[in-house]
Amino acid sequence: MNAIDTGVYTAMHGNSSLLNATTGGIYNVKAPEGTSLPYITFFDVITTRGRTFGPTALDDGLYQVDIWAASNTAAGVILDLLLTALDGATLTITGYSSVMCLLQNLQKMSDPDSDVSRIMCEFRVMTQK
Amino acid sequence: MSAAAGLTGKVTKDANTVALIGKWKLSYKMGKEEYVPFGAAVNVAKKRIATILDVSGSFEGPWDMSDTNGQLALQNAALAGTAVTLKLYVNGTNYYTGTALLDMDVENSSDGIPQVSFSFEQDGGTAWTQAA
Repeated sequence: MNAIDTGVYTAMHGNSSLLNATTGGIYNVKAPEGTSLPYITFFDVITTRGRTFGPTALDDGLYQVDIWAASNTAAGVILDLLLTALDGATLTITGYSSVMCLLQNLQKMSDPDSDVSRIMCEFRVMTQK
Repeated sequence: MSAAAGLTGKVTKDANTVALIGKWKLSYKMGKEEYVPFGAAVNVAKKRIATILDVSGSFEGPWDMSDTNGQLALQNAALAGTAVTLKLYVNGTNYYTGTALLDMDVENSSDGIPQVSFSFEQDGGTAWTQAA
């Protein structure tokens, strides 16, 4: 994980309610095979670097955070906790200043042939270096 | 001969670099008066004579009024109508400089970051020049 990944992870992991509810764990990119539900995966989809003159850069990133649970209800409970942890949060990121972390989209997905419910969230994470 | 990388540019007020500026523009516009000589044929081409050179420009970036000697000082100058001396660097060495009167725009949105834009017109005292 890079520094910004770590900042996003720490914000989720540091919220005890979210951590306790996500019994399967919180993982960057992919959960290990056989991870028990519910769990969270997250990754940086794309980052655009905005330049100012000189060394200062504004990195505008889109993070996808997926909630994987055994039911829509269980996923919804974790969603509320996730929003508390991340939406509007000031992240602590080594080497960067946190500018914003805001929910941009969320999508609920269910597959009738699967026992897994999924909520996909996208957060805009902007940092200044 | 080669193109310059804009990244090493900057905007300064006096000796202070204005923080977070990522773009600037400078325009030289020569005033012109049209005239047609007496006795000219109907289909004669218009003629023009240069009058007075005017200079204007703008620069912008994320809003940061903790930049006391840069953005905040420019804001204060804009509000007071005080002329300032600017340098607009095209790279680490070469710049345009002159005296300017400022206007300021601030823009914000709930899903973005506040932006500040300063626009200016030259103040008659010092002609804008390109240096170094």
